[in-house]
Amino acid sequence: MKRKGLLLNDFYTLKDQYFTYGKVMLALMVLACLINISSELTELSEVAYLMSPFAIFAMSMMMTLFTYEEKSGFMKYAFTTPVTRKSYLQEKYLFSLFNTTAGILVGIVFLLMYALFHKYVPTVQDISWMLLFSGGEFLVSMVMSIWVIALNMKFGIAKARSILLIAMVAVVIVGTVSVPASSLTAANSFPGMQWILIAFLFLFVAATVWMFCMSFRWTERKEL
Amino acid sequence: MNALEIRNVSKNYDRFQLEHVSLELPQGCIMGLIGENGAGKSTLIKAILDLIQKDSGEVLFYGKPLDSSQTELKEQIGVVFDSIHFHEVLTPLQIGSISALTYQNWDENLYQKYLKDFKLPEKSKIKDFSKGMKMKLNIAVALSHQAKLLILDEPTAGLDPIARDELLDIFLDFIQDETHSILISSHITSDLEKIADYITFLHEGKLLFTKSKDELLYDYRIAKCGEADFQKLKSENGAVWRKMDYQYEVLLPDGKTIEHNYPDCPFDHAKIDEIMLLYVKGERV
Repeated sequence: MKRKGLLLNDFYTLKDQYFTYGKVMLALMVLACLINISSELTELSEVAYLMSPFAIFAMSMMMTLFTYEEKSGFMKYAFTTPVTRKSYLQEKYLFSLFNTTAGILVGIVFLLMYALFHKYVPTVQDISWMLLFSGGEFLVSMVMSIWVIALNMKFGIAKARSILLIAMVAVVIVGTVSVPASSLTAANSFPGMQWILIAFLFLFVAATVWMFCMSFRWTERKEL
Repeated sequence: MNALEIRNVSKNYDRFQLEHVSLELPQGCIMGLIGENGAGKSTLIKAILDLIQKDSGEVLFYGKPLDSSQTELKEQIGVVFDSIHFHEVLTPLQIGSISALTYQNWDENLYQKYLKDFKLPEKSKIKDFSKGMKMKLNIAVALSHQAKLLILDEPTAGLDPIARDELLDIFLDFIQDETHSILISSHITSDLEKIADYITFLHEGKLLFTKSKDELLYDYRIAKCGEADFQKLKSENGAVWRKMDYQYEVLLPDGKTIEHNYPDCPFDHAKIDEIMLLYVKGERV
């Protein structure tokens, strides 16, 4: 019951943001439809990128929420109420799950509407691909949310944002350099790079699981 | 029965230590917590509420240990900080909905009554409220879940005298039935003189005294005297003094008893802020 109160607080806190983002996203999507109005759609995967903003938006809402909470000092108040620190953290993960799921669903709906706008009927293969892509986006968005929540509990939202920014830049640089080098057919491929990338992926997954587990300890020990 | 017992609570920071603070708040009473800026009042309140980790000691609420896992005890504690901790886009109506899901004993009718009595528009966003209105909203929430103990950290800071007076009346109403208690930290000692039963003085992380307000206001005296009387007064039990330009000010805990021994020396009743000032800036044997 206590988590319902926290969920409601989070929803009310972000309500205006949802409306603002919704209007912006709607405008961007209308623009996307109009810009590509004359082009023919042959496969849904051609416009996969149109789903991404919704998943990113869902993850960024967690950052916005923590920024607002830090500004208002809500966590300090919440820990004086009959809400345990563990419940507080569990609710944050639950809220990020709702956010991410909603973001992905809206992305799917938009993609289908985009297809219909271009008089394209999605095939079974398109739907399968879309679900696979959505699953991947869901995982990425949830992983990002775990990092946001955990780092916020440890360092506060300002430092968490900086750390995440550095991490994302590092991933982009590493990906830009290493993905071509890992390709078996590319002229500049590096044979061992695939294994390095796989090892990196394992490390990243392990780090994410560790962050998730440690976030509960950090929350218990957080001083306000 | 004590509503709140603090036993030997300590907390160490790099540049500040809260040292072995012990106090008891009897049920049905109001205890004022005073001290200069940085004395440790807020640190003590945070330690009571388990917002920080205590290095030692324990806090008991009606005899039961109070920590963050004791959610059923926290149902009975209302907390008011010096600012409202909900996001500014929320309305009192939304805060009521959130609180109803947070507290088992939430009384929506009572909350609505407080909103009406305090003239708080229930559908307006908090960001449009004045400081006084925000504080009243804070108090409305704290009073609407059948709390037995109110912990208030500077609740009247920044309020005009009229708003402060209204809040003090609310606090006095709260303890009328003698089953409710209040721990209030404040710099505004005149407010505590109006409502407090006990005064606890913290100075540089140490508890200097916990005394009844009546003892402070009626037994304590401040003598303003010359050198000759000062030399005799400074050896009285518990004397604290300060040298002013042309005289000495001597605070005497037992002034009521000894003032007749000094017929040429004017003795005044001590106010709480004067007692604070002398304890902080004064000298003693």
